[in-house]
This record gives sequence, structure tokens and C-alpha cells, in this order.
Amino acid sequence: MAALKVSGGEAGTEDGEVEGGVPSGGGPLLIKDRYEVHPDQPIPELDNPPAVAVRVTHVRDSDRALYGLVCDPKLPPRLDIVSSVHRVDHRNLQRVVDWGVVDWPAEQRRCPVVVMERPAGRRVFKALTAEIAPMTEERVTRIFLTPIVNILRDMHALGVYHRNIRPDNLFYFDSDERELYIGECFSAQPGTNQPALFETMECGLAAPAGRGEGSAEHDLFAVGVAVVALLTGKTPLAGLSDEDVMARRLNVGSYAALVQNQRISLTMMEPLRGLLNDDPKERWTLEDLSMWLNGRRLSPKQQVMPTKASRGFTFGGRDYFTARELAHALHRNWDAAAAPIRDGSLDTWLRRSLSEDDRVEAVNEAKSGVGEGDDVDKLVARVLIALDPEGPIRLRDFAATIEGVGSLIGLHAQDGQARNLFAKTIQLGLGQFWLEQQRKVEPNQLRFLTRLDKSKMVMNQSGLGFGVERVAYDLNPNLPCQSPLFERDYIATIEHLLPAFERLAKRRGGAEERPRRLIDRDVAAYVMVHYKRPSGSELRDIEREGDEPAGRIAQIRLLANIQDYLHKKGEFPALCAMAATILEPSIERFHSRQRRKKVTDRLRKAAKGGRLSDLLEVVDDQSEVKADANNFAGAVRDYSQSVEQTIAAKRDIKNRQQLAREIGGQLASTFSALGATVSALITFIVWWF
Amino acid sequence: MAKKPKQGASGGEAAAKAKRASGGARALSLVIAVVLVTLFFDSVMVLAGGMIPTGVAYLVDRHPRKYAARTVGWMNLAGCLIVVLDLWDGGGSIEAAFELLMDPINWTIMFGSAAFGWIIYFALPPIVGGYLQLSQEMKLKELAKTQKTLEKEWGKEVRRDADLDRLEAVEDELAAQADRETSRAGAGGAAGGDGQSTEAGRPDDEPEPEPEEDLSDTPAGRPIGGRRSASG
Repeated sequence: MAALKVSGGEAGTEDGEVEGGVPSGGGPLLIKDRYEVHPDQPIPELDNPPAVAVRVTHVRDSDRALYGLVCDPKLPPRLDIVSSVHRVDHRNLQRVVDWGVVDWPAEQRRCPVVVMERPAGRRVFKALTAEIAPMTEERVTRIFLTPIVNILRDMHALGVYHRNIRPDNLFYFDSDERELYIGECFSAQPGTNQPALFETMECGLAAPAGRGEGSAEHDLFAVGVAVVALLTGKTPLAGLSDEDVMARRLNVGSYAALVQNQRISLTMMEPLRGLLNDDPKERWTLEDLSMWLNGRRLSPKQQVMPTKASRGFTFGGRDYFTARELAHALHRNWDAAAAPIRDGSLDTWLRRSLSEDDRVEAVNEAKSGVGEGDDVDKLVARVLIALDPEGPIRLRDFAATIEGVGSLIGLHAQDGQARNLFAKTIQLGLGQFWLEQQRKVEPNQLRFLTRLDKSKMVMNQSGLGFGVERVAYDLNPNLPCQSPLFERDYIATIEHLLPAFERLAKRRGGAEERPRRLIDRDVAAYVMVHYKRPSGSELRDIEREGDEPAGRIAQIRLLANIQDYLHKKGEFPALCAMAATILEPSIERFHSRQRRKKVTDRLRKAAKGGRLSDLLEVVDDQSEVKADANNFAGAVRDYSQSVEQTIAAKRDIKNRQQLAREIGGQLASTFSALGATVSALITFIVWWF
Repeated sequence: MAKKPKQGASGGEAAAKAKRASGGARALSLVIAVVLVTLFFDSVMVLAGGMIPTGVAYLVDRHPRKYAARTVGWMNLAGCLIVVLDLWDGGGSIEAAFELLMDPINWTIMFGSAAFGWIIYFALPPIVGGYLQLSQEMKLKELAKTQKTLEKEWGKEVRRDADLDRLEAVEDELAAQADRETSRAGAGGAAGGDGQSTEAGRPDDEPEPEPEEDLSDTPAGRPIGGRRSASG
């Protein structure tokens, strides 16, 4: 991953409610109105690629030595542990101060920034390939091992693991260089920035994103490698690729591969063999190291090598002598892996050459769980677990430790192939089979397996707020909302959601640019995971009604609920204006044109207030809707009656001639009778008198 | 089956009863007429001559309610009354009756009054027809305005329950009728040009719809067959 760009360009405007921003006219970026981030003042020597370091000053205490690591938004930093690690008060641990999200001008998007205290001294190793003067054992013990044991003890007690210990993340405390300073552990997810060299064998074989939170032993292994580097003045195997490093470690064991033929005293050999042991059961704990520091001395543990076969298993033109090595090779050549499993040559080798009964039994078990019609990937994946039970779960390009399965899908949530492989891993029950193959399971691993089982149910539901998106957020608390709507934003917490919508609305001012839907699958899943109040009914309405008025209203109702709960006093006028546009078609459910106009006017007026619930009060006023429906029913009735009258009138027109004759005849005879009577009377009177 | 003859018998009895009753009335009328003729022979003579137009009207009037005969009859009777009173004025005798009947003035009075009856009879239906046309047009216009107002406020969906098919059927009948009348009027015009009194000629007098509001898209305001043929 390329490092982020740093530039002295004018910073963008920021007015989010949660994070501070840029004062108008450019200049430093504000975080929580306390820290000024200076994008034009990079500190390259403190970069931790892909995160870049820039100068940060405290608004009220400009003398405080601070800097910020601007992290790659695609590799979310470990923001969830910032508050925990902030409590670890140790002079030899780089102190984290705060974090925030700022508009990063060089990337033209928002990036997370972690603010830390700036080390006064230089880096011990400028880079992993750099060389320094070897340190004495006593110095390594005093300035590195002793403080780091205390630091790790405090961190582990809080349930946090550093996972970023390596020689180029160590600083001298000051210019006297009498103490070391352990670098940060926030800028990337655990293990993603660590070369495989600093990972245990199990994690090293997994993809960087699939290494998981890890545990104490992962930190201790990295401590062991760092000790070798400090003692020898250079990082072992520094110039090699991860693949080559793992090949060497698989071949001769981690200790032998890392120490090679360097001279290590018997005193240091004891902790190094303990820390770099490939057998998790034999690996030193923090207590072992602590006791060693306190003077306990035992004879160095012999590196226990995995059982080697009497005859190599030839695969892909190479001979492999251990089951783990072979599992790694089969994983690397996935398409060719099924053949030796199916033709029985693997079984023969396991029985005759490796002679490891456990492996034979495990592979048989792996094969017996695969039916004739089952996917060949299931067979290969299960056999690889059987061959290397401590290793990662592997399925084609997917390789993750049991805790790393979640983080792998989290970091590749937008990659369709990764999604498919993750779904397949869950559906094939590889986690369960992995569990069956373990001799010892850590509690956190069991916890993760339970979460994976739950994920299976969530993933099988296709509704809005479920599916693989929900699983990704469930398993990765640090994963920002991945919605395409926010590709230039960074939503680290649910509180950032509405300010991000506000920025989106401001950016896409034109009606044609405005998104038709605010709640897509990613936003829905993010809300379901991070918003603690029920939102299922709104999501169901959005899914069922789509672009119909009820669906549009449900979208805004969900956001209005979030605003009412999380931003009681926050106003989002641009978002409201966008919401009003989205809601406008829902006004058409009112039949009365007059009422529509009235509601539209009220809606526009309400949008200026910045409260989404005000918009809903206008659009979703049930008494108004009911009155409209009643009036409409009356109008339909009136219209129908007027058409009936029209029919009658037109029938009369048709019969007009006949009618005129009839009425005319009646009138004529009546007038005639009247006239005759009057005439007769007059005549009679005249005759009489 | 057994009842049928019974029913037939009872029906026959009723008819026979009615026949008997009308026969009785006729007989009574005949008796009265004979008595009247015997007592007022001279007056009957004058009336018999003077009421000839009524008799003619009765014969030519095919309407079941005999409006023409009634109209002419009443006026004719009023005219005859003048002559009869003249007869009675002179004491009344067959000679006087003859004498009166010989006077053309008296014939003019009796037949003239009958002619006035015919004038009334022929004049009123066209007047009534004109009035009906006017009132129907006004009613349709009122209905069209109501419909337009409802459509403006509620849109075309307000037509939802209206029986427009039935209206169209009526309009089709009206158009067919108008076409028939137009062709008849054309044939009449070719023969002698005296077809102006037919319905087809009337729409020329219809008031034009108000220019400020087009009501032609409403069921009540749209042109009907008669108008089409008239405008065509």
C-alpha cells in the first residue's frame, strides 16, 4: 500500500459536528477544537507507512511536542484501543493523545489522524534494512526487554495487544540514547503492517489482513525478533520477501532461520529460543520472560522441529518433508492440490514416510467429511487444516487465522472474490473443522468461532441490514462505513454518519447529482451494528417499498431517529434539503393538489431548520393523510355522481325531440283548454248581459 | 295443467266484465246523446258542423294521448260556443240553426278558433325544444365546470369510479342519431331545402364555451355527435 500523500495545499472546509475542521480560508486542520494539524509541515522521519506524520500543535499549549499520523482510510486504524492505551502510563511507550478525522487536502478526502506525543530521540532503525552498531546483551535487556515487559503487562491486562513491535518502530527516548521508546500501535489493524518475519508461524502463513487481534504470544514473538535485531545490529532476513522468509522458517524453524549463524550468547539464547519457538505450547509467556529478567536461568529450550518424513513428498517439482510445509505448498498451488489428495499418494506418504498417526487420522477425518458431490475446495481446505492444524484456515486466496477471518473480510469488504471466499469458508464449516483439530483452544478463539457461527445466520439473510456487509461490520469494530456514498469520507463511529451525510449533501448540491437512496446496504449494515436502538422496521420498509413514498419516508425516519438520539441539538440543513428532495415524490400520495402545494411549501420551510424529524412531521402527518384520503373519497363520489348526471343529460339530448313533442303537446292542450275556458266565460258573460 | 283452463276462465271473465262495463257506459252515453239530440237538436246541428276541424284533428292525430285533437277541440269548442249562444239568443230552432250555418262569418269564427288551436299545437313543441336545449346545455356546462374543478384539485384519478363506458355508449348513440339526422336533413335540403326545423340545424345556436376555460376534456364538456356533425 502506497503511503498517503502529504502536501502544503490549502486545506478543505470542514464543519462536521463531531470533528473540528479548518478555519475558513485554509490553514491548520482542527481536531476537537484542541489540536491543530498542519498538513504543510510533514515529518517524514516519523512516517509509519502507509501512515504519514505531520506536525500537530495544541491550541493552548504550543510547546507540547506532538505529531499526528494521518492514516490510510482504506486500512482503518485501531481507533477502538486509543482510549485503553491512553491509560497505559509508561515513559517508554509512545503516548497517544487523541484522534480525529480531518479533510486531508492531498488526498481530497477525509482521513483519520492519530495524535501522539513526539519522541525526542531518533529511530533506532531508520528502516528494516538499515544496520546499526550491535548492542550488548546487558543494554538490550536494560533498555528494551525490561521496559517492554512492563508495558506489555499493562497493555495485556487491558486486553490490548501491541502487534506493531519491530526494530523500525523503536525510538531512543532522547538524544542521550540511554532509553528506548516503543512506537505506536494504532496506525493499522493488528499485523497488517508487520512483515511476516515478526509474526508467529501461524500468523505469518496467513494473509496480512487475516492475522487477527492476536494475543500475548504474538507480541512476544515480535519482541524476540527485535531482540535479535538489536543484538546483531540488523534485522534478520530483512531483504527477503514474506514468502521467502516463511519458506526458510518452515524449512529450519523460526529460531534457526532468524538467528542463522549469528553469535548469540547462552544467556540470550534462552529467552530467544523461548520467544521464537514455533510450538505454541513451548513458547515463552510474559511471566517466563519476566522471571528470566529477574534472574531465573534455565537451560535453553531445544527448538522442537515438526516431524520430518523419511522421504520427501514431491509436489510441483519440489520435495516437502513436513506436513506444515506441504500444507503451505498445497495452498500455494491450490488447483493442483486435489490430485494427490484424491489419488491416495498423500495418504501413502503420510503413512509410510511421515509416520505421524495423528496426521493420518486427521486427514482421513478431513476426507470423510466430504461427500461425492461436494466442492473440491472443501476437500482441499479440510485436508490443509488436518495437515497443519495450528496454521491458518486456507481456501484458495483466502488465508486467515480463526481470529483473522473477520478482519480479512473487513479489509476486503469491497472485493467480490474475497466476499465469496469468506462466504464459502463459513458455509463449508471450516471454522468448526479447525476447532475439532485443535489440541488446545484459547478462549478468545472460541469466542470468535461463536461469532462466526452467528455470522453464518446473518449472512444467509438477504434483507437490508444483513448479509456479508453486516458480518464485516460485526467482526470489525474499526471498519468505517464502506458505502460508495462516502468514498471521500471516513465514518469512524455512528456519530460521524449524519455529519458525513451533511457534507455529502453540500458536495452534491445539484439535484441531478443527489443520490436517490441514502440508505444502501452498507449504510444499513453499519447502522444495524453500531446504532444501539432498533432500526429493523425502517430497514424493512426501505427494502419492501423501495422508491415508493413509504420507502423514502422510512429512509429519512431512520436518519431522523439517529439525529434525535445522537445529535439532539445538531442541525443539518444541507442534509435536510437533500432529504426534502428525496421526500418530494412522497408528497404525491396526497391527492389534493392544493394540499400538495401546501405540504411542499412547509417541507421546504422545515428543511431550513436542519431537523429531519421536522420534515417527517410535515410529510408523514397521519391526520393530514387521513383527511386527504377522506376528501378524495368524497371527490370521487361527487365526480361519479356528476358523470351519472351527465349521462342523464345526454340521454335527454338524445330524446330531446320526442320530449319537446310530448311536453309541447301537453302544454298546447293545457293552454288551449285554459284559453277556451276564458274565451267561453267572456262570451257567456257578454251574452248574458 | 289443471289450473290453466281455470286461469283462462278467470281472465276471460275479467275481460268480459270490462267489456260489459264499457258496453254499459257506451249504452248510457248513447242514451244521453239521444236525449240531448232530441232536446237540443238545433244546437247539436251547429256543433256538428262547427266541430268538423276537431273531428279531422282526431283522425289525423296519431299520438295516443291525442294532444292535437285536444288542443284543436278546446279552441274549436270555444268558437262554436259563440255561435251556439247566438242560436240560443234567438230562441233556438232548426231554421235559426240553418240560418246561422249559412252565415260564413260563423264558419270563420268556428273554423278560425280551430285554426288557432292548430297554431298553438304547432308552435309550442319547438319553443319547448329550444328551452330544453338551452337548459340541457347549461346543465352540461355546469357539470363540466364541476368536473373540471374536481379534476384540477384531485387529478384524473378522481374519475376512478365514474362510469365513463356507459357515458361513451350514450354519446355513441347520440352521434349515430346526429349522423342520421344530418343525412336526412341533407336529403331534405336537396329535395326542397325545408329541413331547417330538424334537430341537426339547432347546434348552430349553441353558446360557445367560454374561451378562458377549456372544458372539452371533461366528460360533460367534450363534444358530442350532434355538435360534431353541426360543426362539420
